[in-house]
Amino acid sequence: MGPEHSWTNIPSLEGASTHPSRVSPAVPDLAAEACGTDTTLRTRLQDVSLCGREIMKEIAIHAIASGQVLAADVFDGRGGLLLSKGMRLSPEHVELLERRGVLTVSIVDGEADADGPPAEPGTDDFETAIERVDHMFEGLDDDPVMKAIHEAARGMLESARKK
Amino acid sequence: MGESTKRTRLGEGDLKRFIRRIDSLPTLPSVVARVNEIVENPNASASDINNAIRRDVALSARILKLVNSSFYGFTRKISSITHAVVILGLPTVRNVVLSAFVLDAFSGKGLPFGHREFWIHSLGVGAAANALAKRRGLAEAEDAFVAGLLHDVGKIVLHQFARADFNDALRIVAERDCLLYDAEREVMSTSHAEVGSLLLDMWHLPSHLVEAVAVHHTPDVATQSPGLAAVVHLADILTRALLVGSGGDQRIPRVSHAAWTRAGVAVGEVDDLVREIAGEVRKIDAFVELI
Repeated sequence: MGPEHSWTNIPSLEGASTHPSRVSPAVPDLAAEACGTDTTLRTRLQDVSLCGREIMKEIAIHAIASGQVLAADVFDGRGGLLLSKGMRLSPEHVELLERRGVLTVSIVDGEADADGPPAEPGTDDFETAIERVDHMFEGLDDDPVMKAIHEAARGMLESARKK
Repeated sequence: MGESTKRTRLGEGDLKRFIRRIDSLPTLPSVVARVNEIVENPNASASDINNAIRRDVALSARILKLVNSSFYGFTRKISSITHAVVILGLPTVRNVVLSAFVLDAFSGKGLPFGHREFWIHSLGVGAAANALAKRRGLAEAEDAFVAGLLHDVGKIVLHQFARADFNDALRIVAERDCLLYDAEREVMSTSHAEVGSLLLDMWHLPSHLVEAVAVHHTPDVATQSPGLAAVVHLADILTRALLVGSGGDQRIPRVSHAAWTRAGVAVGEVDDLVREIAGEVRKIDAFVELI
């Protein structure tokens, strides 16, 4: 935002129906249908930038294992950035967080592998998303409405995965 | 989890204790408050709104970007605030002004579960609530978007003004994999629902909107607009099921069947409804750029 957005310069968003959604892996299914067999677009649809949440988890500072990767920025009590998303946590980082009174952080789940680059939370797979949906509805499928919602959400992910 | 409670009135019991612990809640900037006043006035005109907003160039630009987004679906570009009011009507413009303000000023940076994911979830609930309300032909459909957008704003308030308690609740969520709502109630005998509604009440937003936020986890106790409360409740659940953003936990609330019935959806329609909501949620992309 800022001064470059003048009253006469707002870009038109006509044709936005073919724009891939950035907000959820469950949502691209509709956009994929609209876009037909455009493989470039389909690749982009799977590059879900904002749903790294599927493989993120919140853990207490004392539970951090060396090499785990931050899934979100960490701020101090005054809003100052301490550590950035994507950083691989070392014992020194943990000490810093303790000193600054940080209690919990979000880390990328299951990514303690010290080899190779840190996993990019955005390039998420549908398997993990489906697992996450299933986990969310655990114990609730006795309710016919919850069960129907669960199946509908799962169905959308499964058909998006096939594309 | 998700037990119905009767706690909806502001200022009763537990909330009073909480209020005493904090120094001040954020206030609406004068331009947004003025717009709100104007909209509540039956004699208001488009030029009144224009006069209130035009000096705030950044806000005006943000508003125009929003009204020109695919969310509102106009093919011809809206190029001025007055034009926006004429085309969209005052209540919608009020809601857009509020959204633009909230997305910019109340960004909740530093939320442990990611402020961007927080706002994506909130926008998703706004879009879903709006769609559900229209589908149901609710009179307050215009307010459904704002109620959805602001339904979790109490989490930001708690994070800013009751940080230790909020962190305790987040710790419980991490340990027990429960709803943040339940963890909050355990730690502080209130929740982001009531706290958020207190803020919106201070902002003099319409009382049925305030109520919908207060009871989005317990919609059965709504008295002013059970319909609006029902759609926000449902929108939250559907948005979570579609993995849109984050509410700070990994669980999903159990749906209230009364709310479900009130929203007018049959079990056989769920699949279509979920797909329809997913389509609506996609429209928030333009809003996401403003986070």
